[in-house]
Amino acid sequence: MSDNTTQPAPQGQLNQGKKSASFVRILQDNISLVALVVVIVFFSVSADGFLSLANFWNIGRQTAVITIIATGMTMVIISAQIDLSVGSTLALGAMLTSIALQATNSVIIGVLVGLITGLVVGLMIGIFVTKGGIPAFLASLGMMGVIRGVAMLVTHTRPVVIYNETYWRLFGDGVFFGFLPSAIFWTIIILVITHVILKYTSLGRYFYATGGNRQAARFTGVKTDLTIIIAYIMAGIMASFAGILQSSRMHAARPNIGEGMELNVIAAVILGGTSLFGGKGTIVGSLLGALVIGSLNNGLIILGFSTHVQMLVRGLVIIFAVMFAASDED
Amino acid sequence: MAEVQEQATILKMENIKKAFPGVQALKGVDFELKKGEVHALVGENGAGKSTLMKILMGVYEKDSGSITLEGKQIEIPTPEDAHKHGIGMIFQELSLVPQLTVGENIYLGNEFKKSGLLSDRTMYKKTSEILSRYKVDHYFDPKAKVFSLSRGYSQIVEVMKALSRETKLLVMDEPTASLTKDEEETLYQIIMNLKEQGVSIIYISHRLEEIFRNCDRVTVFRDGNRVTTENVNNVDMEQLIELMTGRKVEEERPQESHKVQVEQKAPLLEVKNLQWQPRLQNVNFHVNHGEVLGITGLMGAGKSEITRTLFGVDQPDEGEVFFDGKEHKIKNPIDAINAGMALVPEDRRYEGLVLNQSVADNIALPLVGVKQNYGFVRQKEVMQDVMKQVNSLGVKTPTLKQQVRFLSGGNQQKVVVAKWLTRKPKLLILDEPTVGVDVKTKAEIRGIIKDLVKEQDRSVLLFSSELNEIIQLADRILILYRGEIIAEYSNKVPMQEDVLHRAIQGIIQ
Repeated sequence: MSDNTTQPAPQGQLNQGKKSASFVRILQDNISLVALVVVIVFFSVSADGFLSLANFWNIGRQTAVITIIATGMTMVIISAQIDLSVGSTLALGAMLTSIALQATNSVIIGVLVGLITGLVVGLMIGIFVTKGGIPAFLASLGMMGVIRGVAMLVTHTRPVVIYNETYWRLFGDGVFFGFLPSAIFWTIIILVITHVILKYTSLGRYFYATGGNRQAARFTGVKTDLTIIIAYIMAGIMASFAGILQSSRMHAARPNIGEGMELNVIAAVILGGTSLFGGKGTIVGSLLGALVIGSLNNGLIILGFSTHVQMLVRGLVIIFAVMFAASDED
Repeated sequence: MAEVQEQATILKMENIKKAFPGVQALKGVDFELKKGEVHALVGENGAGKSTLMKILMGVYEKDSGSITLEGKQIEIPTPEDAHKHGIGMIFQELSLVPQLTVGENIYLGNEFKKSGLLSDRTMYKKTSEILSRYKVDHYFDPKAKVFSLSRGYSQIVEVMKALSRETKLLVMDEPTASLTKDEEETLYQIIMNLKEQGVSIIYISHRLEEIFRNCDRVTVFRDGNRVTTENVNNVDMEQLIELMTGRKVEEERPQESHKVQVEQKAPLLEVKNLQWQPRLQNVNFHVNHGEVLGITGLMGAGKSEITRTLFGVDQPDEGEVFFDGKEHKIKNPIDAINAGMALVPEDRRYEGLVLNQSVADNIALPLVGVKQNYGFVRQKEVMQDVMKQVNSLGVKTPTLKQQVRFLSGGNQQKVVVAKWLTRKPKLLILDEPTVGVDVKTKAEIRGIIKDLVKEQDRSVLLFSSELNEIIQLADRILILYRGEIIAEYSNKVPMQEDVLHRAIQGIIQ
């Protein structure tokens, strides 16, 4: 509120605009790239076998799930929202896809069921947030529990085994064009689609405007509620599609997969330069952020550290990277 | 004894100067406040009174001059220093935390502690004491949450908060702007009580009748100078208005009646029986094709309420809107935009712009939904339109990618106007379009408005409390007073500013 009364003189504002692009500043603006280089160099030196083509594909496969969900989460966070339910949606998407596959043996029906699951979850959270006035954090936290519960209930926590070779090859162990692991293929497709949406469509502009200043967007005739609902739907669909990839690779769906995934994904998106306050962010950034987390996990495994150490290091890297990154307001 | 006290000077500001880029806001102003007096500051927007008060509150730093408080010369570099010296200000926007109680708000930052823990008992006891000292204890309970109080009572809490800090000098900036009549009376009562307690008050208001009711002396500002200080008994409202306006005859003539048939066609916009209690009562008006309709009034008269209901941001209790020959039910801004209206809102930073996005993105926002194929923005076309507007309006920005928060207020406003012109609206609604804009850009924006009507045949609905702006631009002028339209003037022959001044005070000849 003191903003109104202490507007700085226009001249001071202009000076801020012409901030000199110092070297440190460039590093700060590209913190995810810097972090990625640091991580890669560090493990290339310290971990045998980290720097190899085989391991490169490995990291790509392992990072696919995080990257794909991160694209949806990027849209949500750009719209100044948050979605904590993606890990649960991943599990439910995988479960329902597998059940549908078992029942019909049709890949198309299975995948459709999975994607519709994500769509419905996103739609529900979006409606809770926009029409129900529930804060995004709470709405998605609540749904995180509800969806996980449903995923467990459908089979009373039993895993569902998938036996469908087309499905395996298409989303799991298959190799496209003789060299491209299918998980990476799908990741690239989704990166391109979401990048195009954000960059070249009116919907993309509406995500940024709604997140940047919801009131101004509304005054300009942007359907802000609908925009937010669509962002959640995108996140839901991406999460359930990630569930399809993961279940296909494991040849089975378990109701407990994807636990804690939301933290990896949010970390990747924020590391990639998307502002938690909305209005700012890119798919390329989120990809880099996801790669940082993926290579970090991979390198630590090669070095023989336990998952606990992975968690610890990941947490520290995120804190320092975000601390070092240039804040928008300084 | 009492008389001696009344004569004592508590505050003296001498030869205060302050310049902003492009404007000398204060040109060496003297101001003197006596102990226990209520001293009114009046002047038109931009006359310098709020700049002087912001210097007193430590919001701005003065370029030169001296401030003497109770005989000692002081410097006030920050708002905290102002508090320390016992200077408090009641802002138009309240600074209370709605979820906290009255007592918690009053002592926020000054909590009472007992062995390290908060002592609610002491706090509420002190709160009761201060409320009864100023005779406001019957209005609300010290333990009431502030969100449960009306706007007027919240303002009383705000005053009490200032007084709890040993305030000797209180600045009130348009304190009645958003109060109902009953609440106003309460506030006047409090002012009387404060006076008795020896608190000195600087009272800023555009409502002159209030000044004659409440104040002892009045200082008039004009164009960064102090014109005079008078005892309120020695002046009347007519004289005060003369002093404020300097009896200047408007040099600039408004545009000639450029279209002869303006009056004959059916109006573009017709608003009938707009009601929104308690702020708007039976408002009727119309805007003709190719004209500028100016609506003016004091702050709180209902200008924002008309824009918000007309543009579908809020729903009125009643009212019919006919636009371009059809009745429209406007439920949200999208309906208004689709009908062919555009709004340049009063608060451009919070309602008009996405501050951390670029000039281009802001201007393109209303366009990207229209210039698209299957959702894909026709980027080239959009950018052409953006360029065209930036050039024709003269938006000063290093590049189109510059974030708008780095632009000056005037250029930000041009961006808001530009973004709507891309949609070629039939009716452009402007709410205080030149507030917070430097003089040069002000003139440019006014020029843009004139061109729109003259050359592009758009219609404009202009809400402004700057009377010379209304006189310069409007073909007809409506006076809004306490939620009602009480007069209509033709501006074919330019109106005298003092006539309008009287009108917005509710005095119609």
